[in-house]
Amino acid sequence: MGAFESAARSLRLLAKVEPVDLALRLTLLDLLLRPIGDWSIRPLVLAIAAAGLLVPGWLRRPPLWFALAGLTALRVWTDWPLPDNHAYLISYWCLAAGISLVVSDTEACLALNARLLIGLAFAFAVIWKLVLSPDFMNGTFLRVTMLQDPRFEGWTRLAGGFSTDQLEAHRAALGRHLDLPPSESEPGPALSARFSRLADVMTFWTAGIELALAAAFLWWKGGPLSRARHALLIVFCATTYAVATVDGFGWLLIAMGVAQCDSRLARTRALYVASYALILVYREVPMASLIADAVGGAGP
Amino acid sequence: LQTRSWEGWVRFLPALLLVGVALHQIVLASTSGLSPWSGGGFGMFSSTDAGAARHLHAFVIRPGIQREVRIPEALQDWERRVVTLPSDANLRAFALALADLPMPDHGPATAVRIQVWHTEFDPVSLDPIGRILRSLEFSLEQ
Repeated sequence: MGAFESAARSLRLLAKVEPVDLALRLTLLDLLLRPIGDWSIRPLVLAIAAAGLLVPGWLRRPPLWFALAGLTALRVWTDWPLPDNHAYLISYWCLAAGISLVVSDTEACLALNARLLIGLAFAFAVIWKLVLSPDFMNGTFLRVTMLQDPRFEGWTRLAGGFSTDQLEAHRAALGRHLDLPPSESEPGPALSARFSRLADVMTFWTAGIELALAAAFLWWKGGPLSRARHALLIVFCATTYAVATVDGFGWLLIAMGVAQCDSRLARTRALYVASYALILVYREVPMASLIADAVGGAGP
Repeated sequence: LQTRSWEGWVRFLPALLLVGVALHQIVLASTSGLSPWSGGGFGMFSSTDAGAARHLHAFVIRPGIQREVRIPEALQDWERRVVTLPSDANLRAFALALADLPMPDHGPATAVRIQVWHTEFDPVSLDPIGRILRSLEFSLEQ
């Protein structure tokens, strides 16, 4: 109980930090917890991020943020076309931080950029999922990914009802290297109705909440949809990253969410910080796997 | 607060960059086979066609002989980039590098053929189906 109260008090204290400072600190922490780039870029990014957190007065220095924007952009350039979405978004966000710190209305500029970057990122994600991708809305993508991607393993065993052996059998079938006509290949193990229903629900949930997020963040500020944006983003982070541990992207979204919480929204800021901590717990504690182990990973 | 004139537009620079890069990614995905997961278009977790799920077969051709090339470790990072974005320029540059690899066959290579494969999955059974995404043959003869 003492630990819980202490955590709650810490959250309340963090919520009193100015939104700009809190958003920038969470961004630097993201860079430290999920380092980017190879040996030529990573040490510099880590050093600058650590200096921004530790050296008094450096957090709001524009050159620090322009340096981070440059280094993260250099990483995208040198690794092109391999970097993931997080690499691009963190570069845009560091640039937005640098720009916000040189203009006369820092808080408004950072909040505007946070809203646009989140809204646009989810808008393009929705365009891919609903329009451009041939295998998302029919459920194929999540069926394959839940079976094949190790980041989904705990959730797939727990919610899909697979034993470790069953999951391995599906992975072996999906991973066959087939440069043959389909008729010459052996069929894989059958999918359970429970797993198929789960994949369908997750497909529609993902598309729905991402569409709602895009609309809420791009909607004109003050509209009804816009007012729901913080709740939507916190729900998205608390649910999505419990299943898919893509922590760096989640932390970045939260830092951008915090940047839009003015002084009246202290409770929302506290919820964002709690979500940030929750994603760290998701990363470090394989809860779904532990529960699946405890219940025995019963078959469907 | 009075806003300086340049402040009006510079604050939109990050968002404009995001839109520009994301539209460029969609164009490259539709014209040059860029994987939806890559290129900054926010297509991750939308398709099974991730760059890491692709592979290639390369053949060095000499008169009367066609030999498949085993990609050496030193070229495997380049190979990842080529399968992720199998544009003509990337395939051509990679083909030229493969043509220079030592082979047991005699005589100059006349062409290099590269096939980039990706895996599709049957929507009902999830049986994987290998498909050629791009296939190009580059003549090495002047």
